[in-house]
Amino acid sequence: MATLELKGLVKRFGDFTAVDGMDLQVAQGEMIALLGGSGCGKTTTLRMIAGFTEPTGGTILVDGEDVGKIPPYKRNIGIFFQNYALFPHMTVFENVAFGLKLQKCSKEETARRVGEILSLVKLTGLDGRYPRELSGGQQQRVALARALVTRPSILLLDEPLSNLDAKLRVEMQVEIKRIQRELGITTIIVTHDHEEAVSLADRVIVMNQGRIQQIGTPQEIFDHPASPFVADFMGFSTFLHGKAGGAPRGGKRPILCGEKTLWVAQEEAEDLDEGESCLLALRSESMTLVEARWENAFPGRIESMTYKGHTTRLEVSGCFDEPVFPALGEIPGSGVGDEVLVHFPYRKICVYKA
Amino acid sequence: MDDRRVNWACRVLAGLVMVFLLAPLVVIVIASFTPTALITFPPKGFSLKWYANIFHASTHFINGLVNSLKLGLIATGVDVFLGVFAALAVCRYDFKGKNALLNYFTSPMYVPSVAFAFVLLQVYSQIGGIPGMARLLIGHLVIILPYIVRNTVSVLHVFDWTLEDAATSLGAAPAQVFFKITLPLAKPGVLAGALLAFLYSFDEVALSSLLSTPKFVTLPIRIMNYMELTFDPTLAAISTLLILASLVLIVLMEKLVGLDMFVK
Amino acid sequence: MERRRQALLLAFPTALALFVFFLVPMAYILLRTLFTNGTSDFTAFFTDPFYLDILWTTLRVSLLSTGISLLLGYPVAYFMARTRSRMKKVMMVIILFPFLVSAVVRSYGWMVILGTNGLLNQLLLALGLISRPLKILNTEAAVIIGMIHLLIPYMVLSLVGVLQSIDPNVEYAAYSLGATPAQTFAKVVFPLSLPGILSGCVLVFTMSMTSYVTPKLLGGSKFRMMATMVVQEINVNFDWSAASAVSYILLAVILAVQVVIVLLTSGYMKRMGGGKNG
Repeated sequence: MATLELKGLVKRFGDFTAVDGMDLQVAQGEMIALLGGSGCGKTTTLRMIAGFTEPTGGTILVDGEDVGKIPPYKRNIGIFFQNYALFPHMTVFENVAFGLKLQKCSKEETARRVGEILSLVKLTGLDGRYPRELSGGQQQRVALARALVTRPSILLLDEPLSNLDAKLRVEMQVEIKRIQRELGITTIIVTHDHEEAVSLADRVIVMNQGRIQQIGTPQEIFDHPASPFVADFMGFSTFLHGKAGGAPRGGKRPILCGEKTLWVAQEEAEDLDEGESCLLALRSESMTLVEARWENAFPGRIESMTYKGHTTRLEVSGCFDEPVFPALGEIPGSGVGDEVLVHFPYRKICVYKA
Repeated sequence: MDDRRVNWACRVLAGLVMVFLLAPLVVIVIASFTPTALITFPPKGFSLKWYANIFHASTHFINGLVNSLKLGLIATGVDVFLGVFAALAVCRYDFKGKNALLNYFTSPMYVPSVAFAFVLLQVYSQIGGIPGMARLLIGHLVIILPYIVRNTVSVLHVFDWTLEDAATSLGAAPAQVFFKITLPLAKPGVLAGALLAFLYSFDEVALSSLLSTPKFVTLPIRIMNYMELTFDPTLAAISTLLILASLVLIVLMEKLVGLDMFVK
Repeated sequence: MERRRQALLLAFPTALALFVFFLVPMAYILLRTLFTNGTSDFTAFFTDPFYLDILWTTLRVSLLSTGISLLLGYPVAYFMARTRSRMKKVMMVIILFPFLVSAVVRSYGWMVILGTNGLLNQLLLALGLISRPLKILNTEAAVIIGMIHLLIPYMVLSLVGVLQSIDPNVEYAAYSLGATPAQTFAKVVFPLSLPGILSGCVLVFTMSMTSYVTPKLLGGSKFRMMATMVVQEINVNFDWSAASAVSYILLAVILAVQVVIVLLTSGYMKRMGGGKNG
């Protein structure tokens, strides 16, 4: 159990800057997600914390101590690898016991601790199997057990759910969270999947081009991305260009999108001058179809409909210059080509300077 | 069971090739038990006297066998180290010129052993004083190295290097990572390479013909010399023993690494 | 960078050993030959019909052996790559078995079979097919037979890998589009297996060009190929300049074949997605 602090961490590969001055503080027992696309620097950051890659600049502090000079095999950091990296020539028991044997644990102690951790990840009874004899989900649990059994001060998870099918993902999300709580271990998750990040982490860090774009709780990031980039990354589907209108009224501020006026929450648009251009972002599921002409409801034509099981996603043109993409909980009565009224709830609209 | 695209013509041809491949070996084994000096088919009776003759001092077969084993084992032993290091250097790291380095390590393959033997012969004639075994050993060290490098590379080429990271994160120092993870997983390639290298050294004739001294003669040369003087079934007997040894090696390789390791 | 330094450190002992025991002697002797004798050895070689005949014999035997090995090896490899029966393992053992047996022993086996009093002649005489024993041993035919026996395992092992890596569904796709088995083979399987055919042919051609034991034991004293010629010039004729010309010309032929094949295949392999070895 430890705290982790990154101070001005930099990594360059030749001309390419993978991580560009990263500062971060992780509290004891906290679960942090580094979220970003490929090449954003999240994996490089993980490898620097693990000690596999030497930083070009900056420091990494574990419990306030600089670990820069400590070789990776003495850092006591548990890592869960995206491809699991189970040793194919060792049984489940030998895989999990690998770290304990290196710590010169006695036979009895090793057997006891391996047994404990295997029961924690619900794999009791499989200790004699080889990795290739296990299902994907089981392999993942072994990888988790192997990373945890040495009681590392910090746990690093690299894309922990990316190789699993939908059903297993949900199961493992719950499982990882339960185990992390139970052990109270400081954990960093690296992922490109925003759902994985918000469902697992206490705090999410969105990265792009080696820099931190936003740090916040999952809810903050999910509902109020700090930039259009983060919004796009967090799954916002509808982006509208506009110009800030005049004075706010009743906690709302008008934004002019072409000829039409869209009202947004006042606090979202506070730092915009009148006439300044801005970008509005909305999630698909925030928009609804309505019957009557409410405020913030605009008519448009359904261009396409995609049935997605629990939602139906529409493409509607004509509300504004840009198409909008509402996702509806129930199948609408209207079809492609029909005129509909789309409602844009003002509290759900994020506003950015453009 | 069988794929229907493999038609009967293909099967018949494959069967004939199998017969062709086994024929000389089977013939040798049968011939080794013949009681007469002239080999006839079917043999007129059964005798083990040619096997006893192997141990007769005048054949020098045992001395040749010991020399060949010594040479092959030392050369293979040294080259396993050199070859595995070389393969690791080329596979584990990404750097400019790694392909050139790999080509350098396997370059002896492209030089006819008889040409290389002649080069060494000329060098030895200039330097002088190099004992018989060393004359051959230097040549063998060079010509068998590519087999070990290539077979080890073929395994390390598809090696999952995150396994090394995983072991490191669990507290294994570099040497421990190598001996507990990398080497055990590269073992099939290393073993297959070592086996081919050893056999190449054991069978090698061109180098030995030019470089060996009367004091250090290998088994294949002894057999060829014997052939020129006496063409009796003692040759079949010693050949049968060598065939038997190969059979043991096949079984051993199947157990240790699986025969698919030899499919290029 | 540090990783590069580590790599070079690992590679250093091997690189040094090869440099001292291989590269330096090869270069030194070649340069010395050129400096002391000029190119006269080589011109002598190319103007003497005796040597040209040996070069031609070597090329002829190697090409024939390579071609026949391919014709015989391909069906075997195809069968092994496509069958799911236990025959595959049996065949693998039969292929590897002679592969692991000394060339001297294998040539001896052929001597027993092909000799004047050998198994084949005894059989043919007993069947009344011939009245006098045929002379097979100590002819070029015997060398080619022994050579093919030596080469087929290498050829098959080269081909099996490539044929196995061809997705069987590609063949089914061709059938579903109306191709007959012969068309499927000619237009799909054969082109896809070309990399294996080429690498296999280069390997066995090189081996037969440089082979020593088989021509010496099965060809008799009057039959000469390049490699046996080198040894004979040194051990019997004591003519080192002739030996050096023959061995460097042999080396040049081998290297030329390698270069040509690399040039031929690099474009093809790239377009095919790298082949098996990237």
